[in-house]
Amino acid sequence: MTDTTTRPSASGETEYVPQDGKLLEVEDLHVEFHTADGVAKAINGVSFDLHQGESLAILGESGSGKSVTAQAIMGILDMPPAVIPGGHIRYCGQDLLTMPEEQRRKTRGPEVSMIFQDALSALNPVFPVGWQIAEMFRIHRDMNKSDALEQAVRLMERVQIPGAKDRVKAYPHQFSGGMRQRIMIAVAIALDPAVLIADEPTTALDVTVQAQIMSLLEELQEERQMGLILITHDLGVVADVADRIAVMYAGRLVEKADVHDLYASPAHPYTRGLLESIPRLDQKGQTLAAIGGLPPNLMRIPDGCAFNPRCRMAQDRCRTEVPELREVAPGRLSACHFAEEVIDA
Amino acid sequence: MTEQSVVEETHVQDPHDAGEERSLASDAWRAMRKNPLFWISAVMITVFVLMAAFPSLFTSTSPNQPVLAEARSLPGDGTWFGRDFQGYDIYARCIYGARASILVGLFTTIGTVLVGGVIGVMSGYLGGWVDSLLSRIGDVFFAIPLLLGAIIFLVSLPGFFDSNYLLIVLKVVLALVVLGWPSLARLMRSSVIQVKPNDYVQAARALGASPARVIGSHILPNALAPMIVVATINLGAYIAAEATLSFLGIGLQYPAISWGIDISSAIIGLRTTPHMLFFPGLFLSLAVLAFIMLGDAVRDALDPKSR
Amino acid sequence: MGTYIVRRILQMIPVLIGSTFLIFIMVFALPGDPLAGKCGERPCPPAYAAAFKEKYNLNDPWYVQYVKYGANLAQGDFGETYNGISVAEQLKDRYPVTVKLGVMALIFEGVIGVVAGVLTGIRKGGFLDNVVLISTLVVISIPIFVIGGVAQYFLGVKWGIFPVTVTSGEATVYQLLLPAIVLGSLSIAYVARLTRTNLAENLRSDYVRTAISKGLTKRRAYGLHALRNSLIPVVTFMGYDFGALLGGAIVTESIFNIPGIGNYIFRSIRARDGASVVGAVTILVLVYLVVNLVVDLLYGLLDPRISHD
Repeated sequence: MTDTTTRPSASGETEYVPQDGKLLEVEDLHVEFHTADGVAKAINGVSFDLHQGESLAILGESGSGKSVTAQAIMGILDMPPAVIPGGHIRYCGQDLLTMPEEQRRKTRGPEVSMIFQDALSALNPVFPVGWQIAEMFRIHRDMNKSDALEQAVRLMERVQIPGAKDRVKAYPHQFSGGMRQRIMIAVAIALDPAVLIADEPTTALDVTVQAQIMSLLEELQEERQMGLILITHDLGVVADVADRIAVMYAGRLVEKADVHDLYASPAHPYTRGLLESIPRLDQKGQTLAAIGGLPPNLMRIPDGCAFNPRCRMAQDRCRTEVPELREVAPGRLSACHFAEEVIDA
Repeated sequence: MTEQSVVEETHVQDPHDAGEERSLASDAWRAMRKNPLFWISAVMITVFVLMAAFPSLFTSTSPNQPVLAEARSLPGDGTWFGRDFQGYDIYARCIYGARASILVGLFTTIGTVLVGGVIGVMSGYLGGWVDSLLSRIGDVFFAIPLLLGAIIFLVSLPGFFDSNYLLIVLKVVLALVVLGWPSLARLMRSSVIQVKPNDYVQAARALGASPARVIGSHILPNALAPMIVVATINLGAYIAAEATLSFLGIGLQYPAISWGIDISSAIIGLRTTPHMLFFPGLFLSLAVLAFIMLGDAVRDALDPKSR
Repeated sequence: MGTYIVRRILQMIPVLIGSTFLIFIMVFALPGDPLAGKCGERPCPPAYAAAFKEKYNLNDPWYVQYVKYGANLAQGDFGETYNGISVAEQLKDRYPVTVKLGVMALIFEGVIGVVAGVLTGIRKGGFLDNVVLISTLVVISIPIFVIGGVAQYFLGVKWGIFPVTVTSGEATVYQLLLPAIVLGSLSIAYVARLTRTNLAENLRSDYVRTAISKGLTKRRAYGLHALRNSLIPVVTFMGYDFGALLGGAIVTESIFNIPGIGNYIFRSIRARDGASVVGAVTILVLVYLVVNLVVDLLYGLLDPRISHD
């Protein structure tokens, strides 16, 4: 692919150069939702980095704050009700949260880009798909209509949509779920962004299609050396694509590790619970282990470790003292007072 | 591998998080209670209904006793709202005018709900040729503009209908029901069609429930909400329609008392005596407003995301 | 698409026949003798009466009269009034001013209603939002003849900004300005509310979130992506409303004394002139049906998800 080796510089605009290969630094991020019923603390101090060419999976149940993290990075939270009381999100060293809105807008698309869960509702129903892809070139590159549309066809071919040339004028509802998600991907990668955020990109799809979309994402990520953030609740989806996994619970990172280490020996009871709840072929006939209880209400997060009411290992200390996210083994972080025991188990 | 097969029993859910079982109606009532618009409109409607039922609670003056010497007197000159051309007390006429409006609004709404509801349920539930036939019949009535149709209808009714007050009111109601039912029938038909494929309806049918029972206990309760909203708003619209017909000299007629009639006769004197138009106009508008506001409040309560 | 149109037109025929029939029997039932007052104070001479009844088929039972009338109508013959004037000629004189009035009202509806709806929908709950919400509620509550009377008095009589009455069949745009606003006032309020609700809902939609994450300006994301979707129901409402405006023009025309179709029907009813009433209403019904078909086709163009195949 020839068009991927050079990154066209934004004409006369701010140039973004990764520092030591670091694309994105999220530091001590907090997000709250102020509603009529009270304040929901959706994210409570999340930090992580993303490097060039790296794929990071953020794993968690619904309500864990994984999607909110993605939306905060993208800058598409509805504010109000959302409030960001603290933290930094630096892209190539520049803080997106303090940047003027117009400058930040110009990063959306060419620098940071996003794919959503449900492509049918994420694409505008009344515009042809080609038009929606071409819009990226027309807005950010000042390209004329026909050139932009030509680029759109090329992108549709790249994401393997059969008969791209004939379908460029078709509308989103005329495509299958998998094809629609490919179009969504084409929109997101159109300007060759450095960071791609995929928020549950396969959740709405059939299992067979899921695999195709994931391998397309993996292929594109390697080809363009993008930093990929994959938001998911599905451990199965993560295994093949991600390099590192960050596990979220009640708005905090509870574990961060290399994908193989995490699968082999989780360092947090919550991660272990998640792994145990995957059905396995070699354990036919045995009862599946589920994590008891429900995720906490974000307006009333339990004292101490947020996971303690559901944790089988919980001690008195867990109910009073919030565990720090700390290095428990080389390259492995866990926020559990008894992480070492969990790893060894 | 045996140690992994730890069985975790499902925990009983926290009753505060799960919430007790609520019906749509009680949910709607809860939301409505908090809405000030609901209370304002409810109070206004209560006042108008009292006015219609017991006008003597509000005034001891007769609306039909002219004091010719004081004709066209201004508000405050011995009467609250002044007197009209014939010397009638405008305040008393505004009070007594409520009866015609409330009666027409109420009866027309009941009539259109019954006719439109039954036809809509039959169309939606039975489908097929019954639906086609009823829908086309509805189209025929719907295609005739409401006001024009009502005028022609009213003029063509025999003089028998002009013999007493109730019959005069009834003829206006009849005209509005005959031309107004199709919109409610269409609404009901589409609600029924939406509800019908639901599993609980299909289950009831599969278990051998009679059509009457399926409609009565499964379809109606779930298809009624949009009908209630539209019927409430329509009640206000029918009050306005009655006044419009009376204004044109075709609905209620002298000596019946109606805001529309009074407005019609006041328009000639707008230059010199605007109060004659203002007060009946105000009463009429407030009555229409009350029902539209109530309809809005009911809709907000039934469909929280519309707000 | 072609078969859809043909099917719709075929469906229109029974509705048109049914509506004219309905009007016809109501007009047939109009009390009073068409010959009354024809020949001064005295009753008409029998020979004239017989010829008159023969000409207007008054000796036939009502259903025969309807069939004869319908057959003529199908050939474009609207018949004559009892004064021997061609109904078609009169309709030709009367319709243009009503249509002009209706179109102007529709333009006000689209411009004022949509602008008010957009301003409020974008900032839901703000000051302007409440101002528009309350004023639309007021406009919806005050019946049109009160609005018309008051507007005519203040803007026409007292301040002299607009002409008080129209009277001429060839009314200018300026003369029709005030009547058109009055006629459209209720619909303006509805359009404003419809635009507001739809826009506010679409602003929260996933595709607007996508538009923002594509790096579009708020102006483009809201003004193009959200508004384009929000206007679909507004345009269809306005289309269906056009028929209602023509039918409802009767009140406005009587207030401003406009010699339009509503005025004509009203007078014809009073004069017990059946042929004029049925003819005029038939055209209204026909316009209504055709406009509905056009709106449904337009809907398919505006919303690609709707298919007429």
